[in-house]
Amino acid sequence: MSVNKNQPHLLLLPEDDANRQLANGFLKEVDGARQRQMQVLPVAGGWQEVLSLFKAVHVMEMERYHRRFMVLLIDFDGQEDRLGKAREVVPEDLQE
Amino acid sequence: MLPISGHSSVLLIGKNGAGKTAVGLALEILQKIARGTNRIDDLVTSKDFTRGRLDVAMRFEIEVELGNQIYQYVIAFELPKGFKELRVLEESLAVDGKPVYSRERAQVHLAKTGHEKEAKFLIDWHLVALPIVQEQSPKDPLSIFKQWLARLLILRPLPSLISGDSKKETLQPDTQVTEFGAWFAGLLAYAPAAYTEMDAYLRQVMPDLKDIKNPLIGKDYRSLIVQFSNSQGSLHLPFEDLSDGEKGFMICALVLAANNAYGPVLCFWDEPDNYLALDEVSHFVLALRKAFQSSGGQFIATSHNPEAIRSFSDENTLLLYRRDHLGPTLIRAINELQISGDLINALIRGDVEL
Repeated sequence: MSVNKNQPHLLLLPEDDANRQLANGFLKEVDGARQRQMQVLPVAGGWQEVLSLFKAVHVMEMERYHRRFMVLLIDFDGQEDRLGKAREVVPEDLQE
Repeated sequence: MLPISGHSSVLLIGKNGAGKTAVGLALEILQKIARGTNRIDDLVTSKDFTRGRLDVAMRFEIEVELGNQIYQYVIAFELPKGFKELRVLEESLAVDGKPVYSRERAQVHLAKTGHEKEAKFLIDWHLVALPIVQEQSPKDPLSIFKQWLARLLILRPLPSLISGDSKKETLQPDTQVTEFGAWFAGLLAYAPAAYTEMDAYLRQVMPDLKDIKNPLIGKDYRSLIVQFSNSQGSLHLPFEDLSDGEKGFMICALVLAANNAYGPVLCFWDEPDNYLALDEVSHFVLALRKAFQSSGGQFIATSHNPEAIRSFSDENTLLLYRRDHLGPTLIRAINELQISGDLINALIRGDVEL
């Protein structure tokens, strides 16, 4: 059995390969039971692609699986307004 | 040379025929020597020379750090003109650069140890010396190295051949893991607490697992039974009836427990992602990587699976590359290569080259 979707679980969506490796490093440090509740998704290919994918796919899936949390791994590249742009795509009911 | 020093886990990638599995085959030859096979004909034959070049010796070298000491074992074979069987050209074992023994063809030179004088003797040059040279005690460097080498885990499991039956106990499973039952029995006889670790891992993967029993079903003959249960009842399954992927989880549980019980172990697993559901692959690989990171052992995997490849980092992913069947295998870490964009996409395009 993979991630137990009836329990809190976390999907990490990395912008690029560097962020994917960062996420792997993090997962390698958490204990086995928690690690199984986390999954690194394939690289989106850019910060805008992360937001597009989140909107197109993951918002709907988060509505379906109420115990799902997501981490969007985005580089700001010195442009702080990206945080605001990222927040804009997260529906209010999914914000915590 | 395979540059894996300093990494607790390493992934080998590359096209078919690049030489990934050959790394395991080379390790298997060294493992066989440590497990007692010393007739060269049972280890390598003339067809194993690179590109059929009989004039170039076939060399195997391994260097490992065990208990803060560096062990280096070298063996080279040659096939002189007129010979039907290969012979040993040279062989040596050294610890921190100091020879334990060295050998040139038939002449073996045992180094001076403690009160023992150095010694020279001849052995048949068609025999490897490592299994023959007498160990002084379990703390003897020769004994430590041989035991470590014999306990290498070289895995290319064939789940359909794994029945869970056993007539003996072992800590040295075969590469196809057909002796799973014997390994299970051997590990629990050696370290009964290993069951707890196996159980903890398996319950994460299969939450309805209740237990694994290994009852006697005949004289000296055991067969594994796996019990699952939930609020609706329980189910007893003979081990052989588990799915191929579930047998993979069982093997993983044994690897994790073995590394803790009698490690540090070097585990070479050829395509560990075989038979696994896509959403299991990264959990499976990360569990192994994490366990070997904390234990001092080393885990080497090969893979073509995107999820498995994504579970490693660029510095511990090695590309094995061969231009053609006549060329040598070249090896580079991914972080030394110029790759545009995502590694998986570059692999799909066939753009990852040396």
